[in-house]
Amino acid sequence: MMPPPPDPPDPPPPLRAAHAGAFGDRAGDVAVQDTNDEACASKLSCANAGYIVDEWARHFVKPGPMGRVKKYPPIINRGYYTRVATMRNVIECFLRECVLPGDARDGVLSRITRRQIVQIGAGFDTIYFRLRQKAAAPLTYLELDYAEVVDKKARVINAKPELAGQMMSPSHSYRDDGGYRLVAADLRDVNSLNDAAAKHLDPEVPTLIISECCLAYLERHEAEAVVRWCAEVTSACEASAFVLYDPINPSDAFGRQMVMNVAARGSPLRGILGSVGEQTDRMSRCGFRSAGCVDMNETWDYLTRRNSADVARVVRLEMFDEIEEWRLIQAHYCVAWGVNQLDGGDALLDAIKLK
Amino acid sequence: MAAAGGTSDLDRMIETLRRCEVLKESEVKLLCSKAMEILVEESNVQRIDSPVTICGDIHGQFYDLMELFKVGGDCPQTNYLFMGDFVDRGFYSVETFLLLLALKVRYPDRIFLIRGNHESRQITQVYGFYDECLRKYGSVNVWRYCTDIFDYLSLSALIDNRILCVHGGLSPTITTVDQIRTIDRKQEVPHDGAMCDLLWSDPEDVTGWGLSPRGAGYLFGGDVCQQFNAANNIDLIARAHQLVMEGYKWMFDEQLVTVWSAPNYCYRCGNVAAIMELDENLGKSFKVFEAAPQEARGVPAKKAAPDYFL
Repeated sequence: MMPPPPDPPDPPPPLRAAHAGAFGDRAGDVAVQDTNDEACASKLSCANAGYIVDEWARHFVKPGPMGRVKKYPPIINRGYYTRVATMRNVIECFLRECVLPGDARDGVLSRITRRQIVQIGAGFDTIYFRLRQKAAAPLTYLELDYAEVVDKKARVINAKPELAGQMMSPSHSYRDDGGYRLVAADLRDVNSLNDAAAKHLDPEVPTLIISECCLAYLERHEAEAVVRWCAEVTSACEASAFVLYDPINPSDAFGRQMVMNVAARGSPLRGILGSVGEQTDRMSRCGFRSAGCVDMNETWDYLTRRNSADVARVVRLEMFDEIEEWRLIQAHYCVAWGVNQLDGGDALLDAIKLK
Repeated sequence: MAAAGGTSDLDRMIETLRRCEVLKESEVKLLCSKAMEILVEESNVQRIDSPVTICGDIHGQFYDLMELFKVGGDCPQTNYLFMGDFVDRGFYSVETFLLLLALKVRYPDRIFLIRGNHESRQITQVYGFYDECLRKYGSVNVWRYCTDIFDYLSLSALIDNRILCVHGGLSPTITTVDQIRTIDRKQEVPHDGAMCDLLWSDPEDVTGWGLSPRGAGYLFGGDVCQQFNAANNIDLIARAHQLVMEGYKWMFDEQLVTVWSAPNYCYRCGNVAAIMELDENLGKSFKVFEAAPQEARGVPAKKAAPDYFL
């Protein structure tokens, strides 16, 4: 069977030095926002190749000539699968298991009400639409991102009735008729995070904060302030957690090349941490009572045990001749978590791996 | 004026390709028909005399192949054996494969090409060569000419009767070199069986045979390698197929060596590459080299930047 013909190549963009502009520079911000388009296109590729079901991603990807969308190589599809499957496990576990003592522990997703999910640097992620379709949307689902990204996302949603329904909009802040909140915030300014929390979050309600490929683009001290904010905003409720997915290990041969290549896109990994240990330390230092981190090889190995039938299905989807590279790239991404109960979030940790 | 396909035509093609420029479709067709005449005469176990320089995967990294020739010497001054995987992954599979093929036609006793698992219709449709041909020529004709040639590439080489060279590794259905000679190789790489295993298998720290995570070929242990070498009176198996960050890797008490010749593989892995030089006494020395400097390959286009999880 012949695959469809590929898109013609784009003309090369104007040359941009690796460290063009300090953070806060427009070009740098736009390049970081562009990583959102790329992530969304990759998740669509992952869905189109059959790894995950995501019927919403296509609305956020601008197709190329003749409606074609980019096909990513199997290693990238498999990597996004690992990330998406893990985050879905985490969210479903949180909704099912992370309850306050007074709440009914009914374990039925559709009856969940008193939960909040905050997605920082949410971009065009589609997690909310999936939860909404499964009637499992939490009380509040708050997405925070650049104003430009938030505005664009709201426009797409308003144009596609099958997404979330109409978004009502006082400037750069949107809500649907349920618990969906789409709010502009600058992660480098904790005040903007505090404003969003004060307006949209109930500190007493169990809260899961998630973040994918976001903090590593910030300067270390800026990322540290965000983690500290996550710990603070969840501190009043012990059944809360922060789970992130980010690149790590910039110092070995693969890592050095990764840092150079990502910088060449105009979006340097300014705050990338050196190891899973550093991720854990940051979570602890910033106020989480219990913290941990695993690289994505461990996560994949864990998925092959926990979701073994699904992994057996996906490894048959495409020819896969990238074994050595796969272990390399997966060793340079991680899932890290901080939780507020000392003994807590066992089920949540079980979803990530561990236990 | 030489006849079409004569030496001067070939030299002109080689010069064009050395500049990393593509040939016309009609030239590719002519080159492939000449190559077929030569390759069809080669055995599944091509005999090669030392001295010769042994190279691993190239994967369309044209400018890194130029580095390889800088480090190892030009063809025909240096004799070469390339152990497959000329195409896929890199940006210049067309130029890379056609240059090696043109050198083969021009100097058939100085350069030898054996087949890798990527020299296949099926895998080139997943890993880039098909798309590249379509992009550069606007049709799949060049891909067809090239993949037809792939079917004629030899499966292995035997240097001075002492060193067996193969892209991947051993097969549980093959215990003697003579058994390789009996394979009917002129076909697409099958999904299993001896021919598939030679192109797909990997050495591993197991005893006997193991399942390959690649879904084709097998893992084979040091005991298997030792028995094979003893039974066939050879000293060494040289193979490619697996990325090794240091460019080459000895295994099984120096009964097997992996040679990897694609530096900074996929423009992403940060590894160095190597070639193995064998002198006329089969003395071995490795030359390790890095990727071509950025200025040699021009400005990297953002769209061509390697993929990560963003």
